[in-house]
Amino acid sequence: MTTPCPTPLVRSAYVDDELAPADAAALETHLDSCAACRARIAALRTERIALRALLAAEEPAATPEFQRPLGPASLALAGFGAVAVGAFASSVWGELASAVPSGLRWLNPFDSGSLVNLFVSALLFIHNEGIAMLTSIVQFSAAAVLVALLAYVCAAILKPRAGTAVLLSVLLVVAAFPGLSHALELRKTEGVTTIAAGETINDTVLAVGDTVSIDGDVNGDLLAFARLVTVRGSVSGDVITAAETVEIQGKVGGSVFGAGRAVTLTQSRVGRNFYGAGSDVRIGTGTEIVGNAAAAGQTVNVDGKVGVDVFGAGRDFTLRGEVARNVVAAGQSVTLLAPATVGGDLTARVGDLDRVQIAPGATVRGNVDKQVVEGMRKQAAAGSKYLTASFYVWQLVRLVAAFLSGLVLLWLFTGLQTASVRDTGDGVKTGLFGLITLIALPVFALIACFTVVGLPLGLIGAVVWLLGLYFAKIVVAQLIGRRLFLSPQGVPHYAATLLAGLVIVIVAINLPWIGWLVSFLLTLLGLGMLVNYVSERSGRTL
Amino acid sequence: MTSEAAFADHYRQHYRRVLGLCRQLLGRLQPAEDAAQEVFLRAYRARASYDPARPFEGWILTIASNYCVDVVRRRRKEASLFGSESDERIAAEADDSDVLADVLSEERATEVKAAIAALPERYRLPLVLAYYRDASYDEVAAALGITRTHAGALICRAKQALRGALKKEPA
Repeated sequence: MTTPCPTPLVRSAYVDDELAPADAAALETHLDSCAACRARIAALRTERIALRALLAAEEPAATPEFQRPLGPASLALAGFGAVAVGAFASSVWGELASAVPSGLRWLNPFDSGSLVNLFVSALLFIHNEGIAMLTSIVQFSAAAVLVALLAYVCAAILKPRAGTAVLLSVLLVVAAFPGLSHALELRKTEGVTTIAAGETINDTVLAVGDTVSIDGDVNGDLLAFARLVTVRGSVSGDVITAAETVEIQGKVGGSVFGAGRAVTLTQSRVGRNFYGAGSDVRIGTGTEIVGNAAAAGQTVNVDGKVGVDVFGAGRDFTLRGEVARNVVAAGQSVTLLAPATVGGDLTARVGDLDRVQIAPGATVRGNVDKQVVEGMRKQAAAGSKYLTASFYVWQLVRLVAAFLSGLVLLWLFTGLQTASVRDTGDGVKTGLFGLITLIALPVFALIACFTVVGLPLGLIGAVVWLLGLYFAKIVVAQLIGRRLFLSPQGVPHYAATLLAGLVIVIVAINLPWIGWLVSFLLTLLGLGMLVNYVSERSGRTL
Repeated sequence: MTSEAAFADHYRQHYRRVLGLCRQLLGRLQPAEDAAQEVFLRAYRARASYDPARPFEGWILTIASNYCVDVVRRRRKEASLFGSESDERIAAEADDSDVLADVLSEERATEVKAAIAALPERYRLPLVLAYYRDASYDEVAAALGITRTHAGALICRAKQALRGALKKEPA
């Protein structure tokens, strides 16, 4: 025994025929004199052969059809198919929608206009004065995300005991929120939530319930979500509310943001601006709005007094009150009834000039400008919107925003960079998942709001749903971008594929006639892919 | 250059082999099926760059290993997916576990495959590349972006870990 026995590493390399010739020779010399090592090497060789045979054994799976990338002809066919499916789907959707009890209709995110209205009012809100409020909303959401992350960490630590982990994280979420709500007065009941007359709350109030009645005073902002929200008392800050019916009859120091089937202001005073979106928005008699009023809805009525400008968008816009400066109204009909007074100009954008009516007794001090806009008719605004510069600016802003948030998303969740759908069948399946998520998540979030687990989960659900809606198209864009750049050398950096995909997606969803359908289908697919991704991830960690 | 028809032939002939590699590298069947489709899609787009003088299998398996290593890398964002070379070498020297050639018999094939799939990625990738694809340590090192000795240490550790895992399981 002249040489020491070889180490496991050397033995392993030797049986793999990867040892340098000199080392191999030295080892073979050792083997001549060491029976133990000889036996060991022989066993290792057997092991290697068995392992290779085992790995080489073929998968029992059947060979599926090869999915060739789509050529121009099949793309055209797919486009035609999409239109046909869309027409069918919209009729089915119509049937479904008519089955929903009318009391719940306002919940439908696809209800004509309400989503657009919400979006428009959100934009106006952010543009005009939302910074401070937005900051607090962002802080609140950030806190929610933080808690969710903590819960996730908990779950990850308790990996083997998934049930316990889920329970613990739910407890953690629920336990954390009362702490957060130090900054908030939180009121939530199954039935009527009331701040009684004479009661004063020096804080932001978050009120949720079937009916929310604010008869007392709130020295702060009011956030109210319910079927019926009534404000008869006073709120020193902003009122942000979404409900089937919103009635404001008191004093609001800040602005009012109201969304619902009916948003009505009567005998009230708003210190700053009013933003209303709903199928019926009414600024009633005796109401005074010190700032601007922006209203979007099927019918918009302005009977009260507005200190600055009025922007109205809806099917029918009617003004009976007093506006200190300009009125811009867009709709199928714009009507001024006596004793309406407009201090500045009236700009009416309608489908038909005959639909602008200024009754005797109504006064416009400035100019009356009547514009015919094709889009106000039933047909889409296709003809005009593509000719405006602002349309392209907005699409560019949208592209940049989506690109930046997409980068963050793909950087945080690298798995999404390569998320894909296998074939048409898988795509349809993923889309169906997306559809289920689209419908089920807000329903669960809403139900959660009214149960023991409560509001925090509901809010998180809503935030997740909104984030999902936003990120869905980004995920699909990444998929499209990757398909575009495929080569065996690998794909370019995900930023490049994302940008290319986003450009295609944004062009596609702005196509006349079918853009909305493309947008809807892409959202479904993207949501489904997100759900797949999340379930695959949690499948591994939980 | 290869024609559409020839590509279809190649696909039918090599699909299972590619699926097998993806399966072993990724550890699970469903993502492997996706990966195999993706690999052939990439190959289809790049079919102009294929040299018919060389075997198709080698070409497609290279695309497959690059793709799967990429997927695993992205899945695990840590910079050092394959640990440090010195740590792995020290660990490999320390473990002197018995050779378990008998457990590699055909009767226990399913069990062994499951054990391979359950190996940590840093051991599974080099082992599968070396034994499924019949790649040299140099080729494994190049595919994973590590040194040759590091690859050798990881393959040795992979076998040790496999023995450990199979020893624990009831026979």
